[in-house]
Amino acid sequence: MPGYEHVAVTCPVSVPYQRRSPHSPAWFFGEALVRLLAAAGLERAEIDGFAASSLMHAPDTAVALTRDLDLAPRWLEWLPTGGASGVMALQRAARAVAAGDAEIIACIAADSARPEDFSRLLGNFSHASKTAVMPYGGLGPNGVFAMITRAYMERFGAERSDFGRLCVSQRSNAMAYAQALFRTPLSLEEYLGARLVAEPLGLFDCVPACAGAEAFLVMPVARARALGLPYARLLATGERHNAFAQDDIAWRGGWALDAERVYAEAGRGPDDIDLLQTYDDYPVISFLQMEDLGFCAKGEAARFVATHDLGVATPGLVHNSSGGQLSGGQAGAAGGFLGLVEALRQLSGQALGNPMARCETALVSGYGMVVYDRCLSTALAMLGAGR
Amino acid sequence: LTALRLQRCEDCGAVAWPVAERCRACLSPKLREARVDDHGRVLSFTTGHVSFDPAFRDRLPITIGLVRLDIGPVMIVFLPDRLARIGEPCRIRPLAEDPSVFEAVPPVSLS
Repeated sequence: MPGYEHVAVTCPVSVPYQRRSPHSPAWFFGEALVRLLAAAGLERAEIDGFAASSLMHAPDTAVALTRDLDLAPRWLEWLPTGGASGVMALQRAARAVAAGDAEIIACIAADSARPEDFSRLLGNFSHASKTAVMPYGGLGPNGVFAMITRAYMERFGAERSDFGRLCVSQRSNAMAYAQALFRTPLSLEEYLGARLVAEPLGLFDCVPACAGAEAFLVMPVARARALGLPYARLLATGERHNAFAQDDIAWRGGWALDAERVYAEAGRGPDDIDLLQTYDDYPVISFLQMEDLGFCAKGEAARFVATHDLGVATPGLVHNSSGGQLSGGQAGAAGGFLGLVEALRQLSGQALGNPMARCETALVSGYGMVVYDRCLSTALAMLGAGR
Repeated sequence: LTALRLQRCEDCGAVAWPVAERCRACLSPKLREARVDDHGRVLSFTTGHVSFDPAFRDRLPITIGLVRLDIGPVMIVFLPDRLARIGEPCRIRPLAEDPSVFEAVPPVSLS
């Protein structure tokens, strides 16, 4: 057993996203902390563990944030792992609480959207991107994931409309989530007719960059109950880095190595899952997760999406219940927390929009850090409703 | 055709790209730039219509490719439209104006 039985994951907080903001990541970390303390009814001094994730806070790390926020934690974690950082923060925090290394851990991801932030981030994302990716037209991640998408389409016979169905489904979920940046209906025709960004990717295949924060607390179940907080439980988790390095191009990810063990430890599998939260930086990556996590066979995600209504409104499996990043926006590293924070809301009966009729089990997966020609970090977590 | 020069490991012969200070294959620090075989094939490609680098904004659209060299590394390169097909054989050469940047050319080039 993983040993998280007495750990509660609670107080899901999303600081509303903004397309532009004059504020630094530290401002958004502070806003998230204020909201966490209000949600929990805790004093700042009671936070004795802190996990932080940000892409634009450089050159500072979690250490500087302890001063910015005047925290004095006895446990500190910095997660420079972008889209994988939410699950990784949760895993580390749950272990620390279970071991008694800290009692109440605030996990926060925040990023900014000042005019210079995004181009500076892309220009300095990694040594390899600076010397071997950006000199080729400055397309950034759009170029890399366009090539991954085209190779997937050729290998498995997928078409643009297959990815479009996923984007349309997520948009319908986002329409009821007031914090999503895009909440107007999206049709398949609009998706296919949108201007091209990096072929075959069009406008609606790319997440809108923005500022914002996502956060949650990890504490003993007994403490959550004493505080009267609804909570979820972590059942099992896994992470992997630089998996399948020999593959020419990314057509699978580290989830394929870890899903079976995580399901076994959780004692629940794909058929038991009510809510699947994939990391949707580009639709093809959600396809890879559906396959590698065992919801369908490799290469079958297009058919899976075409034959399953994954929206909140219909019974059965729900996917990216708040619209994901594709409709909600990507606030840098907070994109790696978005799916997890929304899952915590659904599991603990606190949905801001789209409350699911039943959400007992959720699977959250992450994908982060396009160092060169693919993202290197993957993570997954099985969560159950509290009680 | 201008020679392709990349780092080669003096201990195990593996070719490194992107530029490294230690061989990924055997962890040796003895990487030395050397002339290497420039043949490869196109794994994928894209035509970009949006650039984050102002220097490219008046040159759009730009087609780039992901090429697996026969000798191992995967390189992102500029790709001429006539090579924009998955599986297409090609050769890689440095740009005349900047030898740290590379482009794909047809395998048999008369120039």
